[in-house]
Amino acid sequence: MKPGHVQTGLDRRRFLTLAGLAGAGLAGAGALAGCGSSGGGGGAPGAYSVQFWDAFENSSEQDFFTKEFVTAFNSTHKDIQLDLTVKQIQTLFQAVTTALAAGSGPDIIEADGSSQVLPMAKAGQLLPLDDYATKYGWDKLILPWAFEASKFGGKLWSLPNAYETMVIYFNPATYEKYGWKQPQNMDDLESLMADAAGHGIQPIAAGNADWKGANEWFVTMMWNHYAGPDALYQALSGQIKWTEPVFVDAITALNNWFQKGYIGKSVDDYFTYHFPQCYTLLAQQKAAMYWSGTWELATLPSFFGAKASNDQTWSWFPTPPMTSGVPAELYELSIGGTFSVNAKTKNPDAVTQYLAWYFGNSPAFARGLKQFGQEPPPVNLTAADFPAGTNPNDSRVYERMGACSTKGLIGYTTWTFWPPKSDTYIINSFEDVITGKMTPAQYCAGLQSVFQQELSQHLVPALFKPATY
Amino acid sequence: MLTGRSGATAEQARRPPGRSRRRRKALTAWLFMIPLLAVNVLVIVGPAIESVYYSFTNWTGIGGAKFIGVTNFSTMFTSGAFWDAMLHNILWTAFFLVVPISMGLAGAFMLSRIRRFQMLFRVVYFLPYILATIISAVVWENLLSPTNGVGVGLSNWGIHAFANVNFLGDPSLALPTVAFVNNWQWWGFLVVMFLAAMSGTNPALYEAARIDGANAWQEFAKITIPSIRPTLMFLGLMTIIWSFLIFDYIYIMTQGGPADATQVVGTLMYQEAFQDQAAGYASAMGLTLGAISVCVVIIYSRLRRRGWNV
Repeated sequence: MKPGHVQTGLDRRRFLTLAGLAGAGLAGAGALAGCGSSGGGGGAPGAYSVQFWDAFENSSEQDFFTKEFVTAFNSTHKDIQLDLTVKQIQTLFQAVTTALAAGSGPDIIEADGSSQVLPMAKAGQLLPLDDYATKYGWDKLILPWAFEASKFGGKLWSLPNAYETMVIYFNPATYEKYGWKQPQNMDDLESLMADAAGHGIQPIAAGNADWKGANEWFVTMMWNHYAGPDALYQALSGQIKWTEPVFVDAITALNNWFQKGYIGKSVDDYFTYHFPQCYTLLAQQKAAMYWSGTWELATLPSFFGAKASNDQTWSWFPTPPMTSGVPAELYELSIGGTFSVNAKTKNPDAVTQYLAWYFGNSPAFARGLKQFGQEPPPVNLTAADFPAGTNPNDSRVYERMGACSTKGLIGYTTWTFWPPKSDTYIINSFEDVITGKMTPAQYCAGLQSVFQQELSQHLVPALFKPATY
Repeated sequence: MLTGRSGATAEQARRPPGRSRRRRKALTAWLFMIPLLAVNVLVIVGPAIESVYYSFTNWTGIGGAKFIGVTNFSTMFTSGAFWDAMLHNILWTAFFLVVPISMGLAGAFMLSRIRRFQMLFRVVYFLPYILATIISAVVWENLLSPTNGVGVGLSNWGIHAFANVNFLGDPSLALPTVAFVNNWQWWGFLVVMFLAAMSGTNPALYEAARIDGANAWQEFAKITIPSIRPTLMFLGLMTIIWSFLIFDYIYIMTQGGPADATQVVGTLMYQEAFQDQAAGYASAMGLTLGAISVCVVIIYSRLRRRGWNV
């Protein structure tokens, strides 16, 4: 080309070259997009490859899962191999639902809980597991409440792979310093909070800046330990209304604590406190309690002891009964994650065989709890299941949950047993109560209106019946 | 009548010599457009059409959808939550039409009158704009924290005016606070845009105005503003559209709270689609936001067509 000459057109050869490069680029991008990070599997020739998509908080947890639940299975099974594809944790469920809608997707469908399983089951995207449950004895292996909660329309659609409850975390040194004891009833609890406030200590460290859903933790704890699981069962099954005084009174008591500054210093501060600030207050003996779930076992311990360069320890106690009719030890339960089987799977027998192996692997669950505070599936874990070196606080919570749930001393978490719109209402409108825009009675009336609509649409998850006491 | 191959050849022979070459060029251009158009159809037109369809269904976001007519729209237009969120969007739009645009104009006008350090100021003003939203939102969340933020720091130095102010926790302050943070990132971009537009103004106009005794304000109002009107109108238009689509800062800093004080249609739509499993209803909200944007663009186009210099 001569200097100064500007070529405005394209000759055929140049066009084909550019088009080829563009095509190669698109193909390369497509190939890259199609590649997931494979965590193992692939298998022996002729073996059925069970496709499983999962996501992990960090590489240590991924390595643990690969070692305990992929390599361990693949090395002992020649005809079935688990093929793990690691996805982004934020988009795993969207990737799964998109694939299902397109008629494909992995063999094993992972979801956060019953509320996500229900629409997939209704859409015919999941395989009913009742026959396999009988074949592999899952109905006996999985704790009865969780097994029942995994059903919809009389059929089993998922297997719970994690379970959780709410407890009260505390720093034993703080209690020793001020002579406090574990509260046994409402009077003890209110005395403890008043005494803590009198000493300039935050009675309950709390904040929802990281997770607005923290609002429902308090509502869950109050309704279970104030109104009791029997009243909740009746309301969830539509026999009584949410406007019953027992529910309104529970919210009133909770709101009073907020207004007194017992929870999160002040209402405004509650909206801006982050979880690490709460852990720090507890570790620095500046808070008496922290009300939260067993998922904290993975994060809270790192703020205590050598990891945090202090000599503080943490422990927990169950929420005390707040009225006379509620059991002394009661755990509101929740399914933290589920496994289902894709209705389009080519080999349901192979997929369920893997699931049977997975759920029979209690020692690996106990090791996950020890190493990462990972929530195990709702299977009965005893002291003998936990390896040496497990934090006694970790093993005790799952031992007690297992023991109480076999006796039926269990309650309901709002995020597992309330239908989606009712759950969102509980979270969002609770802020209207504590900011004075709504009274507790109006809050409960509003819930009744939303809940009644979802109840008539059969959107309430399956309920277990609590023990009579 | 000439027909067949020989006829076509004769016809071609009568055409100007460059016509087939132009046609080839046009074809080449279209061939290059095809991948872009295909992507556009796949990720914009297709989902947009699908969204219109879903807005008339009870789709949960998973599985099939049942046609329910205009139920989603009637529910939306009678919902207090929707109108509260829409009001917040309108307040947000008003704030961004006034505050950052005024700051941007003032900043650009002042910068246009200096020569030394102009580039430095441009960089300093523009710098927040290149920060990721998540970073600036989290930094400001910490700066405004009631326990370890600026208010506490000032209090330690004896200035107690902000000691007990919880900017993001107080429902009456949360929306203006998030808007302030978003503005901190945004206005520098406007300064650079307006400055670029002002550089196209004929300097002779300013000289003539000065000879006539015009002061700085008169120069700004009578010369600068009219000469940058197309840029001003375009940024005003985009401000309206972006303000109705606001989501990121609010979701990161307040999640729509406290007590829905910062809930806008974008965050409400997210809540409906992904928490309430009401994707059809959320689609109706999305369609409404889209309709607002289309209306703004139509008004803009009409004004241009009527000869307005915008």
